[in-house]
Amino acid sequence: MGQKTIIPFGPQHPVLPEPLHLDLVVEDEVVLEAVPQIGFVHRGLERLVRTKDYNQFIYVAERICGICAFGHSMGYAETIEKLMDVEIPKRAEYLRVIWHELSRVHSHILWLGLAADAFGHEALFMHCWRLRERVLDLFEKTTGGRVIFSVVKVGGVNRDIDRGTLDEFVRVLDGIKDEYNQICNAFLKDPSVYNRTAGVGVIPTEDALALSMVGPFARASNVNFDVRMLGNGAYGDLSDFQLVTSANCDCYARMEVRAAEVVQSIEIIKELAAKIPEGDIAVPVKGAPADGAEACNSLEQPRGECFYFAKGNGTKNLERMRMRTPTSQNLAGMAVALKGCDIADVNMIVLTIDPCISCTER
Amino acid sequence: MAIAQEFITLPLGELRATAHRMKDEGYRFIQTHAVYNEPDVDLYYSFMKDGKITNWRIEGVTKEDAVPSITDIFLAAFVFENEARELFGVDMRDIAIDFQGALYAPAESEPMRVITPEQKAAIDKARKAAAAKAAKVSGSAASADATTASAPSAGKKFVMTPEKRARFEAKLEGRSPEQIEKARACLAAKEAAASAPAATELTAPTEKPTPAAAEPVNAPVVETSQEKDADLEAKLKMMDSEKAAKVRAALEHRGAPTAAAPETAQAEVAHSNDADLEAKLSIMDADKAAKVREALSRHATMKGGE
Repeated sequence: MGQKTIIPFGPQHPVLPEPLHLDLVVEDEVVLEAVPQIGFVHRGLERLVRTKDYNQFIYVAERICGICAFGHSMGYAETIEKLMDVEIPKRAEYLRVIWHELSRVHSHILWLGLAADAFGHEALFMHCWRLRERVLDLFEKTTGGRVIFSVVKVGGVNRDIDRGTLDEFVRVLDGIKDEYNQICNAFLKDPSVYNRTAGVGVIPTEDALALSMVGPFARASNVNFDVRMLGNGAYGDLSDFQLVTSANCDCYARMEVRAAEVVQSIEIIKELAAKIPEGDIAVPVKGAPADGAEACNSLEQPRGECFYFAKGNGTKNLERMRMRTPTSQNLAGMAVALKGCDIADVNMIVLTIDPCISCTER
Repeated sequence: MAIAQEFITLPLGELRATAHRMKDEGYRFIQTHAVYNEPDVDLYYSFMKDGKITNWRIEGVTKEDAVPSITDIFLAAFVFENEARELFGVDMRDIAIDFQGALYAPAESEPMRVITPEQKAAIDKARKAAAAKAAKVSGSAASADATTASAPSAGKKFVMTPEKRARFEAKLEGRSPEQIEKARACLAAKEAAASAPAATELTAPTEKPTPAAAEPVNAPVVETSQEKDADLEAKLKMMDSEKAAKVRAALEHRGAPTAAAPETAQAEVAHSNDADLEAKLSIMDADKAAKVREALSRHATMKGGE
């Protein structure tokens, strides 16, 4: 038996795109315990509801994270609409879901690229990000932005997508699908990738449930939960929604689930683009949330369930806005997944959980 | 379809038992957060099952309250419990992964408890306006009923309906404790003055009173004078102390000649008018009072010449 040592991992580390620190208690090459530490980029955005009114705050919510930007603005707007009892037009619901699923496509492809980089496959990383650029082009064409979109507002959306552009969406996504399938073959059928990820960072289903894990990380441990299956908004109009899960519970399973979810999102966009009703894209929202009114909301972000809570105080500024992001919920799972792993696998496990510290520290 | 949600108030003592029950019943832990409810904090624990979000709300957690951790039941709560401690100053106990105040290590202690005076004033103003508006809208019908019930002396008798009380409470918001105390004293004085005639008037016959009934019918007249005194006293309490002193002086000045009892009625009236005038002048600005005196003396001279 070797001596116990504590190895600091992060917050500045080549494998970490965001500042997360782990105290790894190791014995020889085996991690006995991992204690996560965050708090390096805490911005106190939730407190800004005191100085920004509920319409202005949507732009703050969008800036919580560069990857989940659209999802945060959508989740926040839905919460305020619940708080003020506002019903938005059906077309706005469809447009929101189309953009949100497009965000999921670009987020998952981005993550696959990072995973490829983590196990040393740089060419695969380049291919993933090249493909992602085409998705971002669609965002730019319809919203004017590639990272921050500012198309959601309380009561609907700011911009419409015409029929021609929706058809172009379908054409581009169909084109991406072929190339994407080739990339997925490299991820899921390459023996070297399989050997690097299979059986690594296993979290059994019962542990995933006990740790309240969310998102693709949980679904890869065979947890049958996805907020989209609850049919909120335009998701309720989908003809079918099948959960993507895996029973392998390891890093390979997480790649498998995310890879399949890109295809699922493309199918959702295609179906909604075909079904989208005509009509208004927003309703006017006047007044302020009532004093003491409370509402909460849940949204499936690319990394998993995000929870929103809002409380009014009779003014245009909210009394409290709370955003519980998926990574906050998955940190405990990550600490458990790292227990007993080989020190060389730490980066793979951390990456497959895809921690977003910007989201977590808001 | 919207995601169902509910908010349920929970005593702090039942937190852990409820968390255990949620786990046993297969609920998924979503999150914990705090809301600053001056001067205390409300804690929320959210769970989900079958697409429904259940939020347990623990109200009025003080800085002295020790809040037991639920991280031994739901480990995922460790981030939120550390957060509630650092940002809101909640005394969280026995957190499984305890950062001892170093999770965010904010530069300002308990930053989520800080509300600037401007923000507080805006909130108070909005609350006051909303309460007054709600009371006005919902109270109009009820006020009409109350007016009908007290019809015999409408316009004279003080009746504190629930709507009036709501408006009164709304007006108090944002005022200093001293002003609030004075206003409440005023209201109590008014109510005390009104309580006796209220009983009399509500039972008073509507037909012409018989001589036997004359006494109770006359009673409100006496009480009205008391009521006026109470009103006056209440108004004085609401005034600045300097202004109130001036008014009191003027009133005393007015009252003194009455006690002196002049011999003739004409002399009494003249004396009373002079006293009134002096009282009014005493509460005016000195310059204005001087001008009025000058005008009056000119007027008297002209009158004497005629």
